[in-house]
Amino acid sequence: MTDAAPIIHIVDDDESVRTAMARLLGAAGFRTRVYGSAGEFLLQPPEDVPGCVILDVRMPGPSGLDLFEALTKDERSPPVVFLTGHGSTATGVRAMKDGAVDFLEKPVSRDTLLDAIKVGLDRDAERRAARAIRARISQLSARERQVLDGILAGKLNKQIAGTLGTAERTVKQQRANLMRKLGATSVAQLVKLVDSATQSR
Amino acid sequence: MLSRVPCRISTIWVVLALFVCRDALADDERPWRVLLLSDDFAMPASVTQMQAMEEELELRAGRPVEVYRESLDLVRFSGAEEAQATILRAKYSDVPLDLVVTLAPQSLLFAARHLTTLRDPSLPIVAFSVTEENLRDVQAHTMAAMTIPFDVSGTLDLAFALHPDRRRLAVVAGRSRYDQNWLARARTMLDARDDVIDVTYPGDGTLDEVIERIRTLPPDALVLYLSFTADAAGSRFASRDVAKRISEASPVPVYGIFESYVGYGAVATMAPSFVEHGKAAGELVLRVLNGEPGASLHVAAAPNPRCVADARELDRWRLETSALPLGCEIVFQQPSFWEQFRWQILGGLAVIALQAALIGGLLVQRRRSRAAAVALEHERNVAAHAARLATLGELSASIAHEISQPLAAILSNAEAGEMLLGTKAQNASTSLKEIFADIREDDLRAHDVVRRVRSLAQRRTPALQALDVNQVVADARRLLDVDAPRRGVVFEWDLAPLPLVNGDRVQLQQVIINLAVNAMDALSGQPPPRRRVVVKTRCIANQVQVSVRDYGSGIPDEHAGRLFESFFTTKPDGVGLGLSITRSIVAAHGGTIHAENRSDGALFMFSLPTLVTERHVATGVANVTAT
Repeated sequence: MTDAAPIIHIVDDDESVRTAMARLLGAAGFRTRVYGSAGEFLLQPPEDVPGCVILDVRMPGPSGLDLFEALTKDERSPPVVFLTGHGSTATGVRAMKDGAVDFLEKPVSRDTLLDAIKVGLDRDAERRAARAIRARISQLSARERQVLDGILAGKLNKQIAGTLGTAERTVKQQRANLMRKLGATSVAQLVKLVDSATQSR
Repeated sequence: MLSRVPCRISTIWVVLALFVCRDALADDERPWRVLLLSDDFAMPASVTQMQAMEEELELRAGRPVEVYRESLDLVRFSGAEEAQATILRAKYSDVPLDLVVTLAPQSLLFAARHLTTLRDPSLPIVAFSVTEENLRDVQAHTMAAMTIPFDVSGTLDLAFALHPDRRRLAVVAGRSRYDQNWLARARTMLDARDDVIDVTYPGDGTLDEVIERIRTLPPDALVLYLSFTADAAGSRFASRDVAKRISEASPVPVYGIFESYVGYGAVATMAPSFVEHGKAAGELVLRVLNGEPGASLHVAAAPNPRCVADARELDRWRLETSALPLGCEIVFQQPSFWEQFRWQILGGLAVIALQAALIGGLLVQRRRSRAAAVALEHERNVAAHAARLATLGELSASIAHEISQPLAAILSNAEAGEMLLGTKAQNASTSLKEIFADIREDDLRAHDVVRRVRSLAQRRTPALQALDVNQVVADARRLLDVDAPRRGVVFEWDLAPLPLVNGDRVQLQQVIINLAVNAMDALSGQPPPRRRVVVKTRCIANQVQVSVRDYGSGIPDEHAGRLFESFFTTKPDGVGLGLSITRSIVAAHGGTIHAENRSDGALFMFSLPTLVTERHVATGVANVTAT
């Protein structure tokens, strides 16, 4: 987690639309970045800052859908809210299935847009949290991973020690280490953390 | 008086036959022999009466009637009365006369005095054209008489009826005894009337003097013409001819007492008809010859005076025929143009009517063919309009996008502005200014799209104007540029400077959009590198050429001949009007369109005549209008 203010990325080929959008979101307290095309967005090195993308569907060159498809391949990508001038239901349904936050039709009201952005940012926050957990999990030693798997499987320290062929005391020590590393104070919290890290993508 | 024939035998053969076999004839087969004595055969009135009487005899006698005519001319030869009687006695000593007929007073007096001693004292005398006064002296000798009711007063009434405001009278009579008789009668009549203010008698003197006096009559006078057979110098005249000369000289209308003056200058008369009187006399003669009881010593007056007017004189003095008494006979009516040329007029009218019908028919035909041309033009415009709507339908997604973009921007700007007002942030007013400027710009942008769509969607009559085709291409491009990315098609625009053409902006735009959309459709199954459309404009030899080239699979050979036909389509949801309408629009602009295959796609090209060769354009459009 980071405390930096979220950035809203606005990708629209129409300059006046992106200017107005940036102005509105700026007034609503967001930082904004604007891009005239999908390519322009991709060329921009991503910052590790919370945010989401407002994406126009129809653009010359790669379309909004093309960009979205590319973004879904990178888990670090911010969530996408589609904005379209002429929405087709089929396109909308497919985009939502593929994980878009929302599929809005222009012109869109401020509240609708802000709601969608809020959902996007929440989702971004969740993903970030999950990513952090996963990062911590990845820092565990092999033995600690084994112990974690045992705990998640609901085994007692004794049972885990039996399976791993180590002393129960050793398991107990390793269990305390991983709890500390993952920032969990109870087994219940631990389960919840790991669960959220694997669910939220 | 050698020219005057004292005796004329009308049917010589009858007379000869009678002399040969007179006694052999039965009593009722024997011809009647009538001696007709007249004052003066030269008088027109006498001639008319005599002829009417003789015609009556011939018609009704039932047997031959021999009429011996003697003109006594006693007015001029009053001194030779005895001599004439002697001659006549000798002349007719061997003629078995049945009857003596006298015409006019002098001959009656002569007959009474001399002819009874001619051969047979009982020879009956029938008199006509006399007055009651004439009869008084000779009654003893007269078997029967037909008086003629001359009506001098009636003629005067007639004149006053036609001229209610004139009461001055010039009464004209000559100096012969006959004339003076009439004058005396007129004076008696005038004395009895109190509606005549001033009477003059200009008849004294020579005829020339009389005419001079007539010439100087006051304009409010009237002339009552009685008779003028001799003037003071003793010159003899036919009364009728004098009437004519007086009328010609007169500054005022002339009324005459005899029917015979009508036609010789008299406006009108109230007088008995001489023809009718002659007929009545003939009837009376026959009754006496047939020995009808009561026929002898019969005195009858016939016929009643009647009104006769001369239409030319009425016209000359501008008199209303309505003032004439009912039944007044108007003679010498000039036949109207219609009466004179009735058949020529009818013929002319018929020809004109035929021509009018022909012209009318041709006009109707022309109007119909014009209406047909207009209807055709209308149909084409309707079809073009329908095709434009269809094209707009195909482009609707792009159009919606074009409109929703500025609307979205406007909404966002407005909401941003609203929030800025609430926060009282720094630079708020600068930001607001920018926002408002953007809002206005976006609004205009949306309006521009709407305007362009509407101009395509509107149903309108084409208006030709000088156009730069490149400008039309640019208009089309703005719509296509939105649609092309959606279809993944790249347009290339290769526009050369062009001279102006005469054309309708919307229809030419329609042509270009049609061809471009067709080209995009042709590319639907193609891989991205081939999804190209090249639009090119060129000017070659006074023709502006526009080509639309795609890199699709080309036109199948079996479709090549039918491309521009109506209702020919290869698209699953196509109507097949696009290219057909495209061609009709190009043709209406005097241009041509064709399609051809290239090695890697198809090319559609149309040419329009440039405005420089103005006559060419005009002819082209006119031809299309006429079809």
